[in-house]
Amino acid sequence: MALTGIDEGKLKKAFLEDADELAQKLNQSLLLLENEPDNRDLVNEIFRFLHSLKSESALLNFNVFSELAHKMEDVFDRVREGELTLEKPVLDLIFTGSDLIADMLTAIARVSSDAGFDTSSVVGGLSQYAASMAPAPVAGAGRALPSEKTADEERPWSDAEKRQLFEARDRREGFFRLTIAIDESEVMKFPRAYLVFTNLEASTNIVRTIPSMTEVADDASYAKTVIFLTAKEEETRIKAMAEVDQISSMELDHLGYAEILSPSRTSVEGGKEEKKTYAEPRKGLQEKTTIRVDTKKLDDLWSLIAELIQQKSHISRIYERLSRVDERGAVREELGESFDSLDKLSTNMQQVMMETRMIPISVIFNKLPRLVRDLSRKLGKSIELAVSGEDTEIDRGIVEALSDPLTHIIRNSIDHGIESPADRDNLGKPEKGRVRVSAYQQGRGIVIELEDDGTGIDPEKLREKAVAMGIEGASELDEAGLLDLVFLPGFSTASEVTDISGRGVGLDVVATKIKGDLKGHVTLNSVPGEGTLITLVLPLTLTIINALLVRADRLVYAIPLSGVDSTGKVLNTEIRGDDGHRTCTWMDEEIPLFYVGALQGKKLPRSDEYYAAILSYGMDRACLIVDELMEEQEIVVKPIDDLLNSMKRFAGISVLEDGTPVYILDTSFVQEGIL
Amino acid sequence: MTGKYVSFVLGDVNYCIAVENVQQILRQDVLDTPKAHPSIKGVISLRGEVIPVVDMRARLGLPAETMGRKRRIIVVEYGRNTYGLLVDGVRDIVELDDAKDNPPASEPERPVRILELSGIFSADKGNTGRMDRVKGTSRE
Repeated sequence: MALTGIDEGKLKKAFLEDADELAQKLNQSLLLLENEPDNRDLVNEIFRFLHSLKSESALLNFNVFSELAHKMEDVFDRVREGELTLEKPVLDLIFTGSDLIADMLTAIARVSSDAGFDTSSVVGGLSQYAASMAPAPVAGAGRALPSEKTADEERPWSDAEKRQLFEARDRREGFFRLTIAIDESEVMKFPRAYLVFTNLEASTNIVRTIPSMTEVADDASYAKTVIFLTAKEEETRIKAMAEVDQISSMELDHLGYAEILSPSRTSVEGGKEEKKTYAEPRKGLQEKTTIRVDTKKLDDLWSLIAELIQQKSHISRIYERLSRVDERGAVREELGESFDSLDKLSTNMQQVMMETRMIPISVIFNKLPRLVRDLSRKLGKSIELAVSGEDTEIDRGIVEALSDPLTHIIRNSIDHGIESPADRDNLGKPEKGRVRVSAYQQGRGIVIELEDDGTGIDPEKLREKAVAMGIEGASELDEAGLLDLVFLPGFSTASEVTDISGRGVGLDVVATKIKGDLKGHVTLNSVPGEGTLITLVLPLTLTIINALLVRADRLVYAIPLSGVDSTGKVLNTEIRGDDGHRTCTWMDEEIPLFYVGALQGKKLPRSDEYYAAILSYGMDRACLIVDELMEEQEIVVKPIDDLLNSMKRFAGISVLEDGTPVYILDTSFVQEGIL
Repeated sequence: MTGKYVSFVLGDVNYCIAVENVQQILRQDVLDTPKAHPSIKGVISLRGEVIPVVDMRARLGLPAETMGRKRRIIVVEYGRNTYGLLVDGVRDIVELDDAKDNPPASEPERPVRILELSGIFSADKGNTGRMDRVKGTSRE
């Protein structure tokens, strides 16, 4: 069934966008449902997600995917009818199915096919739970929805059916009633009707059938079968799907939603208003308050705004020059006004753009419950996860780079930090280990805290390891210094390697990403026996900063102003040491002294005095001698290619308005002591 | 199948790269980049972007030479990034048979090597940005 004349690539893309969202929501709802198995709203919601996944994938012939979704949907259909309770075995199968769905979507995105996935064990396992032809005895709480009884077309629409119709209307699907008549002389009417039903079910949404397809009435009553359905398909196509041998006639009516849905929604029988899962119906145009935008377009817009800001600076300088030479006050004044408007405009645009780049950190935090659940099962530990600050917004560019380090830290906590329930019991700790993740804004940065109440890290064990590894000065390190060691490669205090976290602790990878890609800091605090706290501090946005420009010979460098304490002159007499290592005194402190030209292989030239900037990094300070102190300026930070930055001296690169490239210094050398 | 290539000179060998990769050809001063990878000559600024320039002589292990008048920078796209290739001189756009390394019809005596961009910026960049020597990617 090739869809000719339609761009398959676009269809696939649209499918994936929808399906990804549905799969995520499915997963989250399943997790919630696990804790509230009687929550009918969740069950209905999950049923709808599965239904959509099934139909949309069927349209594109992703049959393995569709079959799996169908089976899962059948199970939930039974659950919502009250015929089946969700107990652990079936729920586990569903979770496995949900994982397979996610995996298949990844495969489809890459190779446009779901072939090669073996869903047979899940599908087979679910088959025993899935819809049977005979009505099953109601189990559990006995809150069954009224099931379809006899050919009674005038029976009022149930809540579940109305919800289906709401959603269908939101999706702009048409509402149809298909009436098929089977010849009286036909012996097996039901199978024919059922065949039509399954054909339609594959790619439309069936709301109700009369007589019912699940509770089989006697064969004769299927001589006239009515199927209510919603679909995006054209009428001709729907009819085509319903074409089956021995159907003597068929009629398709296009219905309006209004008659069924408009007596107000509040006539829900005894139930509560469900606001969460669907939009309020509105008269007139359905307005969505969000649209999907290709992030590349946002990035392009962002680049344009950055250029705009540079041009604005340029114009400002022209204006100044004009002010000095031009007596034609009127021209100058007009230019001044125009510039002010431009300034306001670009500042506003910058602000708005920064806001569009910001997304809530929940995009990452949402993955954590599932991760914790899976890991705790796998490792036989009992974990309670507390998440807060998920609304905290972070720059979209940071999200990807942050995701791995966060999950890695959590894995560590669960694998190596939290003790087994038996151990915890012996230690007098609560049986459930606690993992706390929180995020909040602080100043111009974001702080993310990850804490567990596990075994903690013993600084003395680290000292032992450091000494054994031959690390210099290990025996003299204080507690803070020792804890910092965990961020070095090769440090693992776990005595075994597990497949969860890869090679032992591996926090060095986390540190590299946080400090390198994200230009942030990471610190670890711990009380042995009580727990560990890892704190990440990240800059709010990477892109525009205030910087001090300095020159050495032909090259211009930028130093983020946040790292500059002060600027001024240093006398030759105040400098001690030699080419290998120099210091000077500043505020009664002896601090290291560097010459920025050393990057270019130049030695500190002889002079009575020098221009200098005092830099700070964390608690450390250093003095940087330059050839020239230029101005302070806003610059747009662009990532610097690895090939240019092989010694990792630079935090980024920028361009001045005259096109001069500027190297943005990474001031961590202040702490490391080497330039 | 033939393809179009931009041919250029390094030492006395003719090289060429597929024309699809080439954005433009420039003549511009290159600014030093301190502590960069040894094969990097420096950077140029182009339409507000800073572009790393690969010193192709260094990349191929040729001895350094002072910049001649004919030196040019070939601006290429590789992956999502833009780079400049500093070469001794750019010759021509030629049409070559992909399957055999025929010399271009205009110069039957001079062998031509097709360079793949992946060979220039090859593998192993890792954290230290080390480029390997151009390994067996030019067909001889």
